[in-house]
Amino acid sequence: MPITVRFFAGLRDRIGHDTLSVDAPSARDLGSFLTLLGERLGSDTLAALTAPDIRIALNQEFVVGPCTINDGDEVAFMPPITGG
Amino acid sequence: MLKRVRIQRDDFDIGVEWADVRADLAGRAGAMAAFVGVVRDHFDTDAVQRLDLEHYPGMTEKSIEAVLQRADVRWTLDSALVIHRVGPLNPADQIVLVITAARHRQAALESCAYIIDLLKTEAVFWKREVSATGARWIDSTPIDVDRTAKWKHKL
Repeated sequence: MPITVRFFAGLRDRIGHDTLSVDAPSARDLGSFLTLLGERLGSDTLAALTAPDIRIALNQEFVVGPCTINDGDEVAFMPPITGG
Repeated sequence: MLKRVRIQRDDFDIGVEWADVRADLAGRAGAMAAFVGVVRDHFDTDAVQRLDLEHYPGMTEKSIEAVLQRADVRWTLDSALVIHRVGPLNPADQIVLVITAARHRQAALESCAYIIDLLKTEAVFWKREVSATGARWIDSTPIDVDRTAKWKHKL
């Protein structure tokens, strides 16, 4: 089952997609998953995704430390939120 | 506490929502407070023609529920409601509604202010402002961050 990758706001505008479906062997750590995304989207986009102000959420919870990404997971790249 | 969180494109009617919250109180609460946010026609010096609000379905609701939970821990509320609109909004459109109910007025009033202040920094939304010079995604403002920080110091 593929991993769903979501991009929001300015990141989505830059990448040109709001969702990507990525096939990856199960149980990858976040670092190797990012490398895989970089191979697919290019190094400039990878730099944008890993900029200091971009927060990553895994299955709708903010990632705060090392994590493992499994088949069927949802990974979101979120620019700074501007609140309600 | 009875929590209600809704994200919707459509406008809301404060009278209908107020009556719904009040109907469930059954005499327990002695105070209700409400706040309505309205889209301004200016941001800094730019005239705003439209505001586009984007959210992350599921995560946005959770982020708002977490704010309501924190308010409940602090003031012990009977009820709290947040309705937030998304999609394209025009100046003068209603954008957000907060209603709180508690046993006493101070709790209702303070928690209502707390919730809207925290929504500004904690709720998962992105705003894009469209003006005559183009469209741009807005950063959170230092004023919003200060308002959230002040609650950390206030007893």
